[in-house]
Amino acid sequence: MSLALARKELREHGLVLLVSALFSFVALIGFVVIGEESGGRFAGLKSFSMSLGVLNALVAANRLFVREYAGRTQLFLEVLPIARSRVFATKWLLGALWSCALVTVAWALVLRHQQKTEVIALRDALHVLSATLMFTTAAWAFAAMAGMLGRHRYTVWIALLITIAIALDAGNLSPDEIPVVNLLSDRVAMARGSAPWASFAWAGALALLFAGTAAALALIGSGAIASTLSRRMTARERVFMLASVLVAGFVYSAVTDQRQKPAFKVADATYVAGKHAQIGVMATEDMASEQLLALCRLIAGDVDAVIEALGLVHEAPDGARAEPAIFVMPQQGLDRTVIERASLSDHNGIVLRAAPNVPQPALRAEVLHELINDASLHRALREDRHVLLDGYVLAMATRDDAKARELTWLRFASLASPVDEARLARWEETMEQLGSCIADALAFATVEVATEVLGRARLQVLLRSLFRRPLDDVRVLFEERPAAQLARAGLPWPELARRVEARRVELRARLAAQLAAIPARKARIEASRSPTRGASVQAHVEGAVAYRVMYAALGAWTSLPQPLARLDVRGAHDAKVVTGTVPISLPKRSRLFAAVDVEEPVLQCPVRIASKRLVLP
Amino acid sequence: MAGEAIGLSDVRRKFGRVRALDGVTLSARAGEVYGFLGRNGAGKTTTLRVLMGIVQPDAGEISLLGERVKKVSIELKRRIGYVSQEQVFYPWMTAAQLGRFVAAFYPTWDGVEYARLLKVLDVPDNRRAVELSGGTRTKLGLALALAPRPPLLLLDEPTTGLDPVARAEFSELVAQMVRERGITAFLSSHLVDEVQDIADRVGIIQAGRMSFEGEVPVLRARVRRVRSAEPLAPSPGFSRVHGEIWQAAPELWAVELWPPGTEVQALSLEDIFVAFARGGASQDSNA
Repeated sequence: MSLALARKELREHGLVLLVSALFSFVALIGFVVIGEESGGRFAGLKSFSMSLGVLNALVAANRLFVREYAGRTQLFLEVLPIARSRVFATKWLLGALWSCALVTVAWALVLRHQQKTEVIALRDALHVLSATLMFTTAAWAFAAMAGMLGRHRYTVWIALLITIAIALDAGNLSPDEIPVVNLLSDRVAMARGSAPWASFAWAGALALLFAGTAAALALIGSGAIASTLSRRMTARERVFMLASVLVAGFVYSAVTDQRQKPAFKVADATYVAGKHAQIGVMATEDMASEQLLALCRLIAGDVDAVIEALGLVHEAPDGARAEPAIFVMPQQGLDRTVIERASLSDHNGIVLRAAPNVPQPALRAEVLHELINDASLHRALREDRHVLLDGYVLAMATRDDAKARELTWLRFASLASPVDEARLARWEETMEQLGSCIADALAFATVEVATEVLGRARLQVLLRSLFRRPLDDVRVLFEERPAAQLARAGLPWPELARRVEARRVELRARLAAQLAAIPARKARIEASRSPTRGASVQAHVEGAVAYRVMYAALGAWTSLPQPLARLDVRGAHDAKVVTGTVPISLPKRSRLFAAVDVEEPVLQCPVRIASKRLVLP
Repeated sequence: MAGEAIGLSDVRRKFGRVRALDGVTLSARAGEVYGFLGRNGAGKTTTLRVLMGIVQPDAGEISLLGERVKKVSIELKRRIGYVSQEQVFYPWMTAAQLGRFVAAFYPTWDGVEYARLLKVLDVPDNRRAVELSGGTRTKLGLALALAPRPPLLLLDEPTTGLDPVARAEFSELVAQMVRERGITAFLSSHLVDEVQDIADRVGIIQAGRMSFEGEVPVLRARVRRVRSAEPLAPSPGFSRVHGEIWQAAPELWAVELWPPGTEVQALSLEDIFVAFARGGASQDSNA
């Protein structure tokens, strides 16, 4: 490596690469936010490495190699007393170091961010780093080789992308089977162990091959090949390339078929094969193997029961029937009330992350919730039926657990305000106001009351209709609305609400002694803005000594404020007024949702005592 | 050969089917200015690139600064100054920055001398290369080539594209540097005027082969125009270069008996060069 040349390269390209890196890191924030929503610890880093990491390698190759040859300044270097091989090695190493440094910084940022909310073992994090670095090195080696091909570099990139696309779609390969790409599989994104050694070996071998080819292009024939290739394309070549790309695209679209993704699987997990689904729970030190097995069986039983009751059909994108795969990953550091679903890009299945001490009914209900949601192609989440989904899954998850059912009824009874039709039909607003614990209990009560009125069989028929996979033709426009279906079944929304309210009144009287143990609490939320500190939220709380203030920024089209973040507040934990500054920069007139939650020992869950949608002054 | 700065013996190099060098043999003595003449595409640049180690020859022998070399080493390259046909510098660098960058590769780099050369050559050290005129860039190239104090200077058509005044200034500068430092300069050009003013000896390359090598007076004594009304059949030792232009050893010209009415004229170097060039061309076309 030549230091003088390295200094020259940094001086010449440093600013451009730095700006490119800054833009990439800004984009990393987006990747991390999306990754968090998908539940993967390093999903953001994976997306970053596969897109901007590669893009930065391309930029670096263009700057270090293409620009030198195209600008003919390579001739100036060749005159200097420095070996051509040393020039190549310096540039190659600089590009590799730059690309690796970029993803290493991204890794450190993601790790630091994730460590704020969960415990991540250094070993797991280093596994992610090593896989990411190997991927980046291979990507850089390819970018450098393509760069040495001068005017044909984009042709090589396009050929690579088309090859990968055909391998994935037409070849029905999974990304796990494609060398280099498989280094950044879902398990790496979730920081669950290292990629296999074979993946490293493949990536290393390919990186060597690419580097060797680039070196050959730079050195053979006194560098004449690279110099010749660096010339601009002729008009004829351009037309030929355009035609080739169009033909390749046509062939690709003709032969491709949507691939079936494999089910998500991890080696060190306990699996139970149910009648209709495969259930897995990740091994963890917090749970004995018998517990894991028992949990698997419970979930398998729930899933089988729901699939049979509702006649759910899971289909792959190509229309083939696909067995759902369900996987639970107990994870230290998560709040016990939080259950997150991972977004799988390469696999099929429902992968949930939850704290090891998560309440089992909640976990089981969440599995069923996602199962029905997937089978209905997300139509079960429509507000006109969402309450029935939430209630049904909780009812199913607690069907054999009298204690859990009793607790759920108590939670329902704790609801101080009356239930009306709007409470049930405008379910997202209800969830926002009551919080998930009491809202779920209300949904549970609604479904239980409906079961009592209609009977289990009629309710099942109704729910089958509401949660089935929608028709994929024009008939979908003429489907009967849930309100009409309920009315036809003899239980219109107003009547259902009236009966639920009657049950609430009756329960509150019956459980008055238990409810009396719940202290009365009040809270008020206000927002303000100061030029120096930005937007802040004040919560005035009475009657509670331990509470948390949650918030979410509301976008223009946000209906449900999720996920909620905990606001760092100032003031003693039992202070009457606490103030928290929103840790994001929001302009004036921005919308914000804030809520005060209290951990209620009698109800064994967090209860929302205040919530408000605010417009920042 | 003792005192030989550059020696090429039967050097060959092909690019695909094109024979860029087809057995070039030449010798430049230490301390002289060697004018290397040839038409565009005759093989001048390839010869210089071979000498700089930028291009490897397919065959032949090379000696540089008294060393017989198979491949031009980095050490040897440090002792050669090179001014290329095209002054390709990093456009964003100033002359001062270029000096600092290039200095890192030459242990013998003389920063004071570089500054002096910039001043003498009137090259501003604080302006970016892209902002400099063609003539100033050429001078900058010369300063960069001379600052390491090399014993050998290779100039590959450095004045191409310069106006006549700038070209004359550059030639004077080169001649002055060579005189002051006693270095060897190998100046390739297709501009005869430029070469004949400063070259001690010239070599003419045609289609990858050397047509002539020697001192300019010797060349002028060898090649002359013979105008005659009758067809000529000179004595053995004479050969036709092209048209009315013949060559022979100088002593043969003195003793040759020409038919009455025949006019023998001395030629300028340019006329001789053109005759060699045309002769080569006609030979090629005949072939």
